[in-house]
Amino acid sequence: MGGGGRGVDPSKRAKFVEILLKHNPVGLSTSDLETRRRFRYVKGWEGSKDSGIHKSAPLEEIKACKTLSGGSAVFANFEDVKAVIKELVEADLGASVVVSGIFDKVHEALKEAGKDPHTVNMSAETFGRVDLLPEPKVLEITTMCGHHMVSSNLVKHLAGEVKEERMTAEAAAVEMAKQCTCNFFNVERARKLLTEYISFF
Amino acid sequence: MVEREMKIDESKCVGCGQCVPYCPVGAISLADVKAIIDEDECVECGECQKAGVCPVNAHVRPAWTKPGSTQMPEEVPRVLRYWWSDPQGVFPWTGIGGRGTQEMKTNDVTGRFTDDVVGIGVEFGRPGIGSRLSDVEKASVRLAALGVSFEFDSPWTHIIDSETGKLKDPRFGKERVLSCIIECKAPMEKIAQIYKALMEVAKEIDTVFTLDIISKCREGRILVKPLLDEARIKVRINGKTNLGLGRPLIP
Repeated sequence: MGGGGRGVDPSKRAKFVEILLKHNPVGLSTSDLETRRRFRYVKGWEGSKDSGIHKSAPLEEIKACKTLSGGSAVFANFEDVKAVIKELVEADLGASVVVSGIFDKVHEALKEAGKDPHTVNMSAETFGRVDLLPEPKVLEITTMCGHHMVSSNLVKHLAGEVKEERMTAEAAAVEMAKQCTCNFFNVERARKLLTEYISFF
Repeated sequence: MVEREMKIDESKCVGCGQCVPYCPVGAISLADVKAIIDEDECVECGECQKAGVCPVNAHVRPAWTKPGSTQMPEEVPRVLRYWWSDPQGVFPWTGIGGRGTQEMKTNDVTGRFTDDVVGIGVEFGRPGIGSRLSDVEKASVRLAALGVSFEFDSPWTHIIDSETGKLKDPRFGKERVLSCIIECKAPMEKIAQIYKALMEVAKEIDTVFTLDIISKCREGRILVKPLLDEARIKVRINGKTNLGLGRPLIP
């Protein structure tokens, strides 16, 4: 879920992030209007696991910032998404908000909040050399990063590390999520999918 | 030394192989106890360096010219790889980061897609295969022949002739990117023709593409859906929904 960006009053942009923060996000991305610092929160990612350009921000630090500027969040539970949609409709911030998820469920939640969807972006199948694609279980994980910065080889490598008990599934999911700089990767879903995947070998 | 491609400094590399799995297109391998990058396959996303897993900082990234400065001729066409493959890369002619635009994400504000229009996004190389721009051009030419309107702010539109869909510079065709989106729109009744043309392109390319279909909704109905059903175009059960909470620029 993302929104609350440019063209919207700064106080409303901050309000948008406040609403996201209230409903148990497992990932959140925003920035400070004043310092222009970008914050990335991913559940389970602590500072000790920072590497390269990937720096984590604790939720407390984000909550303490008074000049937040829109952003996005990832949720692991649809009840949380429903609650966010309801609160955003009631808040009437005037900002575009986009939700990625199962259309029927998102539209139902929106209807319950008293609104109809405005525009949708649907995906047809994948065409062309589909024989080049990795196995479906790996693809389910990698496609959570729309830019595909989480490589299929990294998923396979980390699955091996978890299988050999050199790493937990939680830590492996965080390592994958770090590579998704836009921060839309669902770390909780990745952990579940990874656990399923390694049970096959 | 000024690099023109992503490199791994051979004198520093200790051959630990830690960076190898991070490459989204599998362009890094170990040879003679050193990691090497296949420069033809590399898409210049910089992910191997950004991951920060190299214990000796052996990855050397080109210092691409910043937007607003005069592009150094020797950077073109290689720099196209960076613009399309690194989400933090800023396309110089639009000043927008990433490979595409806001498409339907702000449609409640901009009104870019109206009731009788369908938006099309053809995402080449995705997921995770990468694509030569020559393969993208094949679809672009077919779409242009159908009279679609290419999105002005989309990076792809800036490197093609909008009338023919062809690349302005034939050298661009060999460049390889992690993914590239053709963004356009057309009257809704053309969706079946567009789909058919893209299915023909699918047989001619050496990569994959996904097809995004953007439509407005009215009273909970997706306006293009009856035409998709009629043409037997299957869409996934999930996708993006603009909730319509933005204030229209033109009420």
